[in-house]
Amino acid sequence: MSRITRAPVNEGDAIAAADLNDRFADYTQSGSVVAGINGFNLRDAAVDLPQMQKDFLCQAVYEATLGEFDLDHSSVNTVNAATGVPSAGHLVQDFSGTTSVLSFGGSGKAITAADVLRLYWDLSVNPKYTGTPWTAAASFSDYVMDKTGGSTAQLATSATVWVIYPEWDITSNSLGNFVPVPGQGDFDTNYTGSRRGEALSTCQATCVIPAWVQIAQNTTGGLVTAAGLLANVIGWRGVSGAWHYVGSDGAVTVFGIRWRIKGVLHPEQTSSVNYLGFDTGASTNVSLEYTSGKAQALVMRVK
Amino acid sequence: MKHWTKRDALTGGTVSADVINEEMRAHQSSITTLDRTQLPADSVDENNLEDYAIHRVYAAKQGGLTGGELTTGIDTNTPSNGFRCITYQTGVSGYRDAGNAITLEGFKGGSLFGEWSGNALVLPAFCSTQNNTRPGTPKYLGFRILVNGTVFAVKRGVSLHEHFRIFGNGRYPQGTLTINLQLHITGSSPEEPLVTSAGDNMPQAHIYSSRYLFIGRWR
Repeated sequence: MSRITRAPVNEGDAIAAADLNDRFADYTQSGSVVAGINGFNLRDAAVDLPQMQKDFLCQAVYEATLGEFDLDHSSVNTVNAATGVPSAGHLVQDFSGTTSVLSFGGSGKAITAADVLRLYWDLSVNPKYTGTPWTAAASFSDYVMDKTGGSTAQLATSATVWVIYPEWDITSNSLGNFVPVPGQGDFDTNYTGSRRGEALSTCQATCVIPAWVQIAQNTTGGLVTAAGLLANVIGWRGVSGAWHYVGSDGAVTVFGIRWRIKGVLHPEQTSSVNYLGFDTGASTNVSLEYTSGKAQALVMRVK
Repeated sequence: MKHWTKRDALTGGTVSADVINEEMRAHQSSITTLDRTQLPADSVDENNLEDYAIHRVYAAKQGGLTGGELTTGIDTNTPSNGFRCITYQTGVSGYRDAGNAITLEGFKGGSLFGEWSGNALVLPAFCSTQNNTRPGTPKYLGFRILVNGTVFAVKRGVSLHEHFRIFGNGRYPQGTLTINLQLHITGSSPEEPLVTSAGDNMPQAHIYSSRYLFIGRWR
């Protein structure tokens, strides 16, 4: 609502030329920023959505299919767990092996300091395993627990995961220079001994997918029972991830984004830092199936 | 151009308060309607609007947490193959802040959209212990967002080591808004072991890769 701030003239008030001129100046453009025809009255308070640029809030939206759709899972892509490190992982792709890329067009999309890039994705996945990979001698995906009747049992931590994270190309539309997005590592950091993975602080665009689950039924008196260790597959499920890039962290032009899957990894701590590290000891007969999903990117003005 | 003269003051005419006030009111109403009706569509863009005139986006790449990771209430006496995280030795059931409160400054009043996402760890193993089987105690890590101390969004949360996202929408008055991102830990089950065989505290819950984004719309 437009606004003019000056008390009205009342009966009995003295009227002088200067007073009248001041009042009219409130409503004219005569050389003063406080005049009524100013930025506030004619711009901020007077315009509304009909006059707004159509793409003012959301400048651009991009969407792409990840993988390939197959409702009954008669066709799937399969990623096997890494048996050694470093691991290149697996690029999300269709059944013909063509990498799924969320394209931002031939000219790319500039993310300025006044913008934010909102990235969302989902994927239909099926973590699989046979046996009890967490009990393998080289695996560290288990906790050793006291058991009824003495001795101990290996309980799956159920913290073993697959990871999926985005990589972007901000160099050219030839899409030959993908790198993990800012704040996200490639899980090839050698953080101790032969272990590779990422500190949690560099997992800012990661979406984790549980590899399996085991419960300890009928645990009594703080002791697990051998018969109560019940493990199960996770089964087909939809997983989703999100990531935001604030343009004030540095202007970039984005040409494309793709997604990489790695696994399986497990929590670990070294020198008081939490990591997700490859558990190659738990890789036998462990895989991740997936079909399709969607990726969306929105570029919005922040102000 | 709109013609807004109410009455012309004539030389030698009688001057009264209404002569001035009514002319002023006519001017003011003209200003109010001038561009709403006469500006062409799409004519207003970021170049002729003040910042935050229409909306404002508040985003943080690490969700207001150091490295995007929960750092309060962390137990350091956990196994080497587990996170330093919440245990039943350091955490109790109920809601707790995931980090420091967030302030959304310059909120002008109107619609508020918000989302919070990241990865969360839960130890699901002891959901069906002895004397706790009908029903068991599903171990969920719940989430909620508070705006000025009232619930904005709430979600049961995750029961495994997996990704989470919680979002909501509401209308709020003008003024700085205070946001609390909170998580909820399920209490321990009867007869649940709280330590490993080696005596390390069992990791129960953790969050990392945390990020939030809020959008205020006031026009």
